[in-house]
Amino acid sequence: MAMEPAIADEQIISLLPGCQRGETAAVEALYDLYADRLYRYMLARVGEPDVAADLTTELFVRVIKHIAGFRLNQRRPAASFSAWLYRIAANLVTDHHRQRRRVSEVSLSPELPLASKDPTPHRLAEQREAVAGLANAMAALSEDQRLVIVGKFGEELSNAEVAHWLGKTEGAVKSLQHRALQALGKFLGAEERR
Amino acid sequence: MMELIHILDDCLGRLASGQGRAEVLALYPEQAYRLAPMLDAAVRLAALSGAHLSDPQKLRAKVALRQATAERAAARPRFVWPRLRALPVALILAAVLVVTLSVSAVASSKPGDMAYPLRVAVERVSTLVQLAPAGRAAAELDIADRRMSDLGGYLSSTGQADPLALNALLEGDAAAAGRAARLSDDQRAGIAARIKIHADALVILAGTAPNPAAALRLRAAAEHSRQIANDLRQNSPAPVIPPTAPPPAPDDSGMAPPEPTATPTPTSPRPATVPPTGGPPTSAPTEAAAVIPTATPVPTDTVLPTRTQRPRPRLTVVAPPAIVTRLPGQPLRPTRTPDPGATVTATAPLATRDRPTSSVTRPPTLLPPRPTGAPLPGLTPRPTRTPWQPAATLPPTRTPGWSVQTPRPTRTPLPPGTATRIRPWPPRGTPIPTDAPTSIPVETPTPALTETPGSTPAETSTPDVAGAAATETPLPEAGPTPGIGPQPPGPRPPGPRPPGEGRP
Repeated sequence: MAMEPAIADEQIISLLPGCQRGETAAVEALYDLYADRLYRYMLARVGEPDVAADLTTELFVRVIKHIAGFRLNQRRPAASFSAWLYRIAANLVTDHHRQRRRVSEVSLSPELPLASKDPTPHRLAEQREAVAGLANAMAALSEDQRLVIVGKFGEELSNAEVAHWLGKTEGAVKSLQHRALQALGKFLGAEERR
Repeated sequence: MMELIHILDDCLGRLASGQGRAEVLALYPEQAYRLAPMLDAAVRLAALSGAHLSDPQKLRAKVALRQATAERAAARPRFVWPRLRALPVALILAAVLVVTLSVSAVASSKPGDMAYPLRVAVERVSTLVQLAPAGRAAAELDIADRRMSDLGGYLSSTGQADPLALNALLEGDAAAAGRAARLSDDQRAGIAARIKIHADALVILAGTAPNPAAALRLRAAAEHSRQIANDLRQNSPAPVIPPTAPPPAPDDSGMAPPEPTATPTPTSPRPATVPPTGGPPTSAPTEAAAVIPTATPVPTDTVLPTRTQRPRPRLTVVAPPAIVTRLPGQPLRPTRTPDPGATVTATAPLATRDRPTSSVTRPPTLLPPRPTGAPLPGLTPRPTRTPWQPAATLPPTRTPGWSVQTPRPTRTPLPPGTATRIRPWPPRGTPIPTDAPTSIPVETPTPALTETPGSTPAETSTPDVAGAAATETPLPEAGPTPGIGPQPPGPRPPGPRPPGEGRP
């Protein structure tokens, strides 16, 4: 059901040493493994595809700078590494929002970042509009709720997979999902009523 | 509430499986008004699942990542440096500070301080880097000089003699003397002089010490240091005396001076410890070895003439058998001393020490008197030393192994009215004539008497008292001494000569 296969612990264990030594191949393999996932998170947070793409690239640059000091949790290698990546992504988004409050930016990117499997112009416009509204609603959520939403709807993970990724129980994931959708529904409903 | 969470999760699963929103809400009509906004949000969130980076975006990102990787590789040393800068630098600075303070405290410590023993130990380390014996000895003496300075400072401030500094001083002197074994005579004499300076300085300090115990301790240390210096002098190789000195003149009685004897050869490294076997036991020879000559009473006049009547001890040297065999018809027939351990060197110092108490009438100890009456010139063994020393104190010969037990001739009491001159060190075996020379030839005892051929101790025992007197005691009334023949004209007998002359 998941659009992309879940990241196995063995993949992280094999890639991480090479990334920490600065091997380009390992870094690119890591990028291929996480780029779209982190892009969707960025898109859900910022609502602009080109900004999300730039932030994703900047995220990996930060990862390269700091990956040498990362210590892997041997009991949950993939989950701990993913948590570290999403923590960096959250910090980047926070920095982005802080900067955006100072300087109003205008996106000049002509590309259509929400490239779906059947990217008709109408569909792309709808997606862009939907995501832009979601980004504002996502700002009202907690980080755990955002991660659950991204995991469930961006990565199409099951409750068990999200629970393993976040280190929580399935009941906790369901509860977070319920509260997040409740908040999003209220926000989006109010926005539609406006 | 819990029911709604599970209903929502079930509805989301149905939406994900492809069912429509209305169809799902129809399953839970009672919760439809609560589920509808959440399902609407979920439908909008589903747009995220199709979002992904385009290939050009990924390509640009990988270029940026390669550049970042290259920059990180270039900046890796600087990346590590901040870690090293935190704790280790502080530790290093603290260690340097502690070491600096400790070194300064040790270097400035004085006797009585806690760090002074460490200073004494550390300063001696500098001697270990000296490989040459001369340098090592000089370094030891330099350290001893520092200890002397410390000792003086501590004595002036507290009135006490610091035992640590005192012991270190003596150890330095002893170590320097030990290192001087392979040095030349001049170097050895220089080291002995420096040790002697230490001894003199200790005596001066003892004189200024307010505390009697400290004074006593300093005097004992001075005596010990002086003993080290004396031992160093006496342990120097025996001087080779070339036959350049003029022959000694006959004495007033017309008797020739003592017969020149052959070069003595030590038969034992420490012959003084061997008890005499040729005669009756002497009076406490071992105890007498510790007697300081200055304490020896002056011999009386009644004793000395008795000794002059006896033949002078020809104890020292016996001609080698090869020479003796060329003397047919001589009364002295070469025989072998039955007891090789009975050496003259053993008897001479003992006799000297015994002389003040029971010397004159003591029976001969080792060797028979050598027939010295008119020996043929060709028959006389080759002389090596000048045995005759009229009224002079003859310093002990520098025979190897005869350093400790040899009494100091300069402190030997002299008969009243006899002027003597004490010859400074190092002795070269040269007697110094006195103002009132006597006819008593003196003989330096030598240790090579075990090979005396044909001498029977029981029959021809020679009073060793005379032999002892040969080293030092001038006799006021010199009579003809039997056994002293005329001076052979051939080989040059040993006589007074400048110190160091003829040395290699």
